[in-house]
Amino acid sequence: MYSASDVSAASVAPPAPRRRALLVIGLVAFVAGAVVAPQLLDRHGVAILVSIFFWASFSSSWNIIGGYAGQFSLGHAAFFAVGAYASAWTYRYLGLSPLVGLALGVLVAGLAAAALGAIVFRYKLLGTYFAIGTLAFSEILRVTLGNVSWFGGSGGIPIPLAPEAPWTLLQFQPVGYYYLFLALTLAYMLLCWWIGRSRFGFQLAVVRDNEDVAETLGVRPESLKLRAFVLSAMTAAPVGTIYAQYVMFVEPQTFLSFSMVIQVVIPAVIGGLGTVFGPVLGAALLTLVIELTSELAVRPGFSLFAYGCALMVFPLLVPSGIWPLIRDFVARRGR
Amino acid sequence: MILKLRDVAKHFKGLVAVDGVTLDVAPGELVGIIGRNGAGKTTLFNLIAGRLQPSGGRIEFAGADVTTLRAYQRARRGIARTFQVPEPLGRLNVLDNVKAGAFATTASAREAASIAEEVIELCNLRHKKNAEAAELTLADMKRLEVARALATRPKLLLLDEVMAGLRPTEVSAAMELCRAIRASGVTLLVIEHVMFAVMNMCERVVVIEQGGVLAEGTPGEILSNQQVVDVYLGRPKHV
Amino acid sequence: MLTDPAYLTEILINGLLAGGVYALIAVTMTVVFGVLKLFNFAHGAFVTVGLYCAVLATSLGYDPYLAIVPAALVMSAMLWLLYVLLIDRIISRPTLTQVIFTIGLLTAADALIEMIWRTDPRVAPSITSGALFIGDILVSKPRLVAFLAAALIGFGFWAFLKWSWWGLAIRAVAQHGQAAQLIAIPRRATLALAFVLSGVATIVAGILMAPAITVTPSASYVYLGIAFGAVVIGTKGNVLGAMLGGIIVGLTEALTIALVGDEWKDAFVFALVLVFLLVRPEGLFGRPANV
Repeated sequence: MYSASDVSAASVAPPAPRRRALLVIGLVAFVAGAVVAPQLLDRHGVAILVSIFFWASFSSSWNIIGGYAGQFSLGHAAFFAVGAYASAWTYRYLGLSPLVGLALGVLVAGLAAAALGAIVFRYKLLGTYFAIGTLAFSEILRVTLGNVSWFGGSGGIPIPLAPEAPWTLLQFQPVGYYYLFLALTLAYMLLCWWIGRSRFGFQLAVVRDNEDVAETLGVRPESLKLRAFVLSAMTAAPVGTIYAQYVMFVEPQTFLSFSMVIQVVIPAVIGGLGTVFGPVLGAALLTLVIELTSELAVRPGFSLFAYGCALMVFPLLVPSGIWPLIRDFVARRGR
Repeated sequence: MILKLRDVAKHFKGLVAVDGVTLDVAPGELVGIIGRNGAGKTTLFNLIAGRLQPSGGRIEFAGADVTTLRAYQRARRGIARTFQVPEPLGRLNVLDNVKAGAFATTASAREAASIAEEVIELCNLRHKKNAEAAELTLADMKRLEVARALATRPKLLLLDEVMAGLRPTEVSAAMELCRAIRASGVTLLVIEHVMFAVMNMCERVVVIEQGGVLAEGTPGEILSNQQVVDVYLGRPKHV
Repeated sequence: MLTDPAYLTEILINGLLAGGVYALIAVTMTVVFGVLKLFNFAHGAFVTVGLYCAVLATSLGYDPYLAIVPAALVMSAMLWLLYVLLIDRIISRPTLTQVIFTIGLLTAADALIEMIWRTDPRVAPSITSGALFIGDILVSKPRLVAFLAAALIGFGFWAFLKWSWWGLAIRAVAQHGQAAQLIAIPRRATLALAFVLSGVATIVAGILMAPAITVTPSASYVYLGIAFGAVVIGTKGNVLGAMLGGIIVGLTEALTIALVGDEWKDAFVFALVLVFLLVRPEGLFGRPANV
C-alpha cells in the first residue's frame, strides 16, 4: 500500500507538465469553491463541511507518521487531546487566549512525542508492537486526565461561552470553525507536499522500505522516525484546540475514546497513505457516507452500520486508496 | 592505511564466525576476498560496515577507531557496501534509488539529483534511469546496488559477490566498473567467487577460511599457495 | 488494608476469576493471529455479540447459559459464511487492508447491536446470579462459573491443538501454510476451522460473562484492549502464553481496583503492556529477536 505514496508514485510516473498545470487549476478551483461553499449551504450543510475538514486536517497530521513514515500509530488522539486540554485549561483557569493555548499545546505535544518516540523507537518497536504501544500511551493518558481533578476529572473542562468576544478568544459561529479547519487542512496539505519532495521525505521512504539499507546510506532510522512522530504530534495539537473551541468543552471520554483513536486513521488509509490529497478525499467520502445514510435513518446506529460496511468493502475494492486510483487512472489516460 | 582490522572476531553463541582477523588495507587498493562458502567473508563485511558489532578486536577506519560505531555512523564516515542479494528500494525507480544514496552527503534535492545522474552515468545505467527498481534484470540490479552505494561518496566500498550470477560479458563489464571506481579514488574490498575476475583485477588477494585469514598476497602468490589450492581453489584449469 | 490476608486473597481470587475469561478471549485472539496472521480488531465485537446473545436469551425468558448451544450452532454457520465470503480474501492482503477491514467489521457489528438494543446498559440475570462464601471470601457466582467454563474451553482448545489431527493441521498451517499444503493438509478448510472455532469460543466467553457484568456495546473496545494486552504479554501465537497473559491482566486489574481505584484499571493494565513492549516485546514465551 505504501507503493501508492507520493514519493513512490512520482518516482515511477512523474507528472507531465500539462497534467501538473491541470492539477494546479483544479486545486485553485477547489480552494475557491471551499471558501465560497458555506454561503450556499444551510446550517446543517455547514456542520457537514466542518466535519469533513476536521477529519481531513486531523487525519492529515496522522498521515505524516502513518503514511509518509509508515509507522502505524494508534496514539494520535493523545496529541489531539493535549492540544485541546492545553488551550481549554489555560483559558478556563488562567484566562489566556486559546491562541496562547494553541501554541502551548503544540509545544507540549511535541515534547510528549519526543519523549515517547525516543523510547519506542530506541527500543525498536515496529509494526503491531508500535501500534499497541502508542495505543497504550493514549489509554494511559485518557485515564490519567479523567482522574486527576487538576484537569477537570472525568467531567473534563467546559469552555465558557463569551458572547461578543474578540476573535482572539476563538469563539465563532460554526462557519468560523469551518474556515479554521479549512486553513489547517490546506496548511497540512502544503506541509505534506513539501515532505514528499524533500530529503526528509525521501529518507523516510527509504526507512519505511528497508531500515538496513537506510543505515548503509547514512540514515539513522530512529532519528528520522522520531522527527516524523514529533511533527505529526505538533500538527495534531492545533486540531484539538480548534475542535475544543467548536464543541465548547474537552473531556477524556470523547477526545481520547478508542473510537477517536481508530477513526483518525481511516480517512488517510482510504484516501491514500502518504499522499497529499488522500486524507481530504477520505474524509469527504466517509462524511458523505454517514450523511447520506443518516437521511435514511431507520434506527439510530444505522449510519454507523453503513460506515462499518463501507470500511469493509472499501479496502477490498480500492486497496491503495482513492487518490492513487485517480492518479493512476489519469496517468494511464495520458499515455 | 585506510582500514585496519586488529584481531577482529565475532561469536554467535558458540559458533565462531570470524576468528581474529588482522588485515591492513591501503587507500586506493583493490583487494579481493575469497574463500569457501560459510568461511565468514560476508560476516567480515558486516563487521566492517557496522551491521554487526564485533565480539572482540578493533576496527580502525581513516585513522579513527570505529569499532563501536553503528552502521549509519560508519556510512557517514565513508564506508559503503552492497548486499550479496541485491536489496533495491523496489517501489522507487533507478534514479531515486541512487538519489537515496546521494542524500547521504547533501541536503539539497537538486544536488542529490545531479550526483545521482553522475553516478548513473559512471555505472552505465542511464538507459534504465526511470525503470522501476523491482523490474530490473539481475545484472542491472547489481549495478544499481553499486551505484547507490557510490552515490554516498564513500572512501571505502565493500562489494559482496557483485558478479555472482553474471554472464561472461557482464563479468567483464563489472570488472571495468570496479577499475573505474578505483581510478576515481575509492578503495575497494571485493568478495568474489569468480576467480577470473579476482585474479585479473585485484592487486592483492586475501583468503578467508573458517573465520580467519589463511593466506594473503598477490594473485600469483595465492594461486601457487598449496594450502589455498587444497582448501579452496582445486587444480587450476585455466585462469 | 492490603495487609489483611483475607482481603488480599479476595482481590486475587476475583482477579483470577476475571483473568480466566480474559485468558480464553486472549487464546482465541492469539490463535487467529498465529494461524491466519490476522490482526483482528473485531475480536472484541465477538465478545459483545456473546454478551447480547445472553441478553436476548434473558429477554425471551430463558437463562442466559441456555443460549450457549444455540448461539454456538448459529454462529458457527455465520462465521463460516463470513470466512468463506470475506475473511478468506482478506488474509492475503497487506496488514493495513486487514486492519481497516476488521475495524469496519467491529463498527458494523457494534452498530447492528446498537440498532437493536440501543446503548442503555443491560443485564442478563441467571440462576447463578449472586455470590457465595468460600471460607471467608465473597465470590461472585457467575464469575466462578465463567471461570470454570472458560478454563474448560481454554484447555480443551489447547488439547485439541496438541492432540487432534485437525489441531495438528492448524498448527502446521500456522507455521507454514504452503508447506502444509504439500503434505495434503487442506489449507483453506483448516483456516476456516481455526477462524470459526476461535470466533465461537469468543462468543461463548461473552455469554458466560454476561450474568456477571452490566452489558453495553462499548464492551467491544474494552475486551479488545484486554485481548491485545494479554496476547502481547503471552507472546503472539502462543496459546499457553495467552492464557497466562489473560490471568496476569485479570490480576493486575483486580490489584489496581483494590489499591488505587476502579477508574485507574485501564491505565495500569496498559502501563504493564507498555513495559512489556519495551522490555520484553517477544512476550513471556518468545525468543528475543536479537543479533
